[in-house]
Amino acid sequence: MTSKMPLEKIRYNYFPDHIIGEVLSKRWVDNAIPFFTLILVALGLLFTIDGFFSLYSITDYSRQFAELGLIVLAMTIVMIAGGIDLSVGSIFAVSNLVALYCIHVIDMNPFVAFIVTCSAGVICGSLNGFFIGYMKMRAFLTTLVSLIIYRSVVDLLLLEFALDITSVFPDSELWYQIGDGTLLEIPYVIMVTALIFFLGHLIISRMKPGWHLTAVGGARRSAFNAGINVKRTVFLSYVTSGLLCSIAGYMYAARLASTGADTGMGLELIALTAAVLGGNSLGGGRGSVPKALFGTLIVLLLSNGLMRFGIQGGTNSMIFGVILLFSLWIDVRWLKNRSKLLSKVYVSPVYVDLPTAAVTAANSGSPYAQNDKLREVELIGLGEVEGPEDVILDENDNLYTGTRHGDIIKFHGPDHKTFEVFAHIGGHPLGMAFDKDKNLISCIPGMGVYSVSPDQKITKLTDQTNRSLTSVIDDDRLSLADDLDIAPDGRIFFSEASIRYGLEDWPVDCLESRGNGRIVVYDPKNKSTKTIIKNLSFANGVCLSNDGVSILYAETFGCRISQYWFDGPNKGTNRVIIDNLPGYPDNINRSSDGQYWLALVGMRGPALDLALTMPGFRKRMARRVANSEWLYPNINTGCVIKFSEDGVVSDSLWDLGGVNHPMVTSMREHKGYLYLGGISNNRIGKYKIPGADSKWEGYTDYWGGGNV
Amino acid sequence: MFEQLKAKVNKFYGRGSSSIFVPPMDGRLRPNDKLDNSEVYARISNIDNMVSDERIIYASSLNLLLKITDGIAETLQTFKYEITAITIGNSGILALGLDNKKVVFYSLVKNVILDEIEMPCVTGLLFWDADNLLIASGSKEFLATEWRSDLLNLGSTGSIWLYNVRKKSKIEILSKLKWPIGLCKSEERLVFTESWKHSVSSIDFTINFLEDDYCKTDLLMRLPGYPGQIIQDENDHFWLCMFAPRNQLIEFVLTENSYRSKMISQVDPKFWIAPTFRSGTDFREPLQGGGVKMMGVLKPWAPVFSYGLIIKLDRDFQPLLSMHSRANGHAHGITSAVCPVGGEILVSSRGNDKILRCFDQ
Repeated sequence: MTSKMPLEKIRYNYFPDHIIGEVLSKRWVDNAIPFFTLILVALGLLFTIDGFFSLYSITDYSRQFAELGLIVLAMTIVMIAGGIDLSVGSIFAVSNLVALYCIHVIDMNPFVAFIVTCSAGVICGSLNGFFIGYMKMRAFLTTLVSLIIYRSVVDLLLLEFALDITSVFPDSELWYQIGDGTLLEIPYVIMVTALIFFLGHLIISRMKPGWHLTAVGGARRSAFNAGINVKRTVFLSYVTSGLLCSIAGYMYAARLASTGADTGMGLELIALTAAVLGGNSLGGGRGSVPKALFGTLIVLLLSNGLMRFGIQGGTNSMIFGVILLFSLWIDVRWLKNRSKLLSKVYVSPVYVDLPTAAVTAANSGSPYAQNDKLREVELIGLGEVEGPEDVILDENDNLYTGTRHGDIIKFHGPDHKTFEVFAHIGGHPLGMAFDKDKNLISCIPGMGVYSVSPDQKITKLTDQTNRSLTSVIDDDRLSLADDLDIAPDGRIFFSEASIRYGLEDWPVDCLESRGNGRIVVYDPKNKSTKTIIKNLSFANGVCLSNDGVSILYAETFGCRISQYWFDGPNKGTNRVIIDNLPGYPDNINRSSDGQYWLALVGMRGPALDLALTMPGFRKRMARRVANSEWLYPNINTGCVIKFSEDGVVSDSLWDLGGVNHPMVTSMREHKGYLYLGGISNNRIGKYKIPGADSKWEGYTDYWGGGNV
Repeated sequence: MFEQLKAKVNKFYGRGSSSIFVPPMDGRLRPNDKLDNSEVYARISNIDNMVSDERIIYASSLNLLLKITDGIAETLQTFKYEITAITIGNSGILALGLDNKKVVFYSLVKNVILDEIEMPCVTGLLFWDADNLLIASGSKEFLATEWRSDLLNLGSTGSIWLYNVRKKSKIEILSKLKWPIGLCKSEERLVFTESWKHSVSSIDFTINFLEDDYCKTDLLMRLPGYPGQIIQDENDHFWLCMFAPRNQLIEFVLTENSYRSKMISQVDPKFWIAPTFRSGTDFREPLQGGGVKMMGVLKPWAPVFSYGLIIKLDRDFQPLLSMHSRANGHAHGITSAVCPVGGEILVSSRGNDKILRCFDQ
């Protein structure tokens, strides 16, 4: 059954749709909208106004930015914690007045004046913080009241001291430098603000105070339950706001020495506009310094641009009002719809035309013919283990398996009636193997490759591989390490099934069939990890072949088995052994007669095979139909097959009807029996292989007798 | 014009009026296990089209006409084609629809075929009175047994005919219907169901069909399944059988022309994404995400292609109670029902090859 649709193949296989979903899931995508708006505004002004970005203008803008930026940062910090500070303009005016008084009237040293000014800001902020943080008053009303009170303080003080201030001309060189000085054409004030911004970004995004701030703003009750001192965090956010406003006021005093009564009036609205425009959420919990930066720059450029155009007064404010409204609307829509959009656009299917499946009909004579051989298996741990994806036995017949509760369970041999928790790892262990020193090495999705020593000590071997340059997704993380095997020299070859999906939604990788899997090798000698094969369609089972220089690996959604030589004369060669499997291959393990056992975790069906040749259909399905109703690979039924390195299938074992052992993801031969595991099962099966070598077991086959 | 543009945009994005919508089963239709917990009255493979005459039930099993007394079935007649509809008239006459596009009149007294007429795709039959037979013809393009093909081809070529036995003349009463199947008499109105429209409607039967308007009213719309037969019991309540459930994936496939046509031409009908009487028997059938078994358990609310549902309606056609067989149950494909005795209803579960006895409480 083929569907010749070369156009769809070109459209879906070569057009990088998946990048849209990957970019949307990045943390920095929130900043993308304000960033692009800023670029748009800057370019627009660059081309419409001559000399808008001349050196003189830039120096002037940067001085304005130095002050406005700090005010916006103050507002942002308070907003992140879920509050609002309407008194920023008044605190700015108070600090301006205090600084001028200290320098002009008292003739203080500028450094001391700085300390005094900052103290004034801190006192103002503390009052806000005390009432809002500790007395639990409403932020809006409280800061509105403090706006009025501080403004009246300024008015009263101006009445007293305005004349004294303006009648003195300070001759402090330092004071002059702060106001007008530059270093290599860069004003000192902008360097100070840049430093504050940098430190602010570090603290808010990467240090505890910033995380506490975001937690309190995002989910106040949860932050409290987690042990964060909510009241103190809120208090300190207002103190910081006051402090930053006072620094801005100090710079303003140095620059303009203005004693006008309208200093800082309306600044709170401009700061609010800038903060929201940059993408900081008014509701709290979402905000950052880069957002404040972009918002300030947009507001600054726009207001200067409008002034250059000759628009003034009321029209200016109206334009800003409209912009604020618009950015609020976008903010709300983005917040609500981003995760919805991401879930719709993430699945990016490609065109795949699988070879016709081998025949599985019972009595058809095909080696895959359905039967009931697994109907009578013995069950181990029925109802006691959940999710035993892979099983392995040591030479004392103890059986080890992983569960979805994060444990490796050890069933005591030889009858496996009792069990104990061998190691509590935390993730759902999948593939397992013993190395030469009898350490149990296991792949844990979401965590990496771990080793458990015989005395139950857990060590992490690797959780990181090399980052590829062209991947938007951070693919040095191992998100779904699946199966592994160990070469004679100790190198561990393991598969990562998919870099785009995790253990919760791994079948969705089938809908994509994009080839998101890879084979990675870890070398314990130099602790290096390297990706050796990429673009595999859900790389799953890995098995060292009997020649010791190559690995067999399965591609679950490619429905094929391949062989890759990592050593020897054929080093680097890759060939497909079987390409027409009637189901989805999972783990591969050695059998006692030189062949290999393969588990098929699910069976192919014609409806899905047809859909794989129609990526547009799958894409629309992923968008319009609910997740639980998507067409899935049929992983309710599975079977076990035996194949040789030449690709000849000799046997298949089924439990039709899934009565006794519904699904199979792995099988392990040990002393004449085949032990079966399934990732969605609650049991392990034990099947007696007719005519098998009753002494054969895996450790001796790999490592020879005893410790070498 | 603006509306048309908006509809086109909606169709492109698959939203608004073109979004995939399946009505939830809630209120009186809240799912339960009553059908799976019901007593088994008889086990007959492919049991369908039951009608009753006092305590005797006549039904079909593919091409066999059966008479069932106290749970024991005997074959009255074997036909060459599958029986697709049965109705019983006065004086021991059965009208049977056969898959070779015929309606056959069978005498129960003499056990012979009295007469036959040509009619494609007979899905429902009803004797309005001794002289008039109503015939529901599901589609002009497909046979009655090819109902899945008609659904996947968005069939709307069904019709209802009135055949006068004495004059041997037939007229078409309604046309362009979407698979009419259930026919029932309610006072002087004809109640009929349209499966692909998920509706139960009625028309006024007292007027002259060639001239007047029928006052067609929609009694029930947006049913959460495909309605089949509808019968009336002795309290003037109605029982509506749903032979298959609605499913978001099927509704989506119905909007995808390219996939649908390829699926019809390339895939074996057993493995289509289409409603069915019985599902989960072959692993090559399509599976949906919620249908994946965890720890060996299939959750009852998993999306499925077959379901068991029968709804009791009051005189105003509002649901009173419903009996279900959910995803993890077996009594699916409720195609017909009879009320031989008060307080008890027998339903045919074609997906489970059983007649179930349910008690009406």
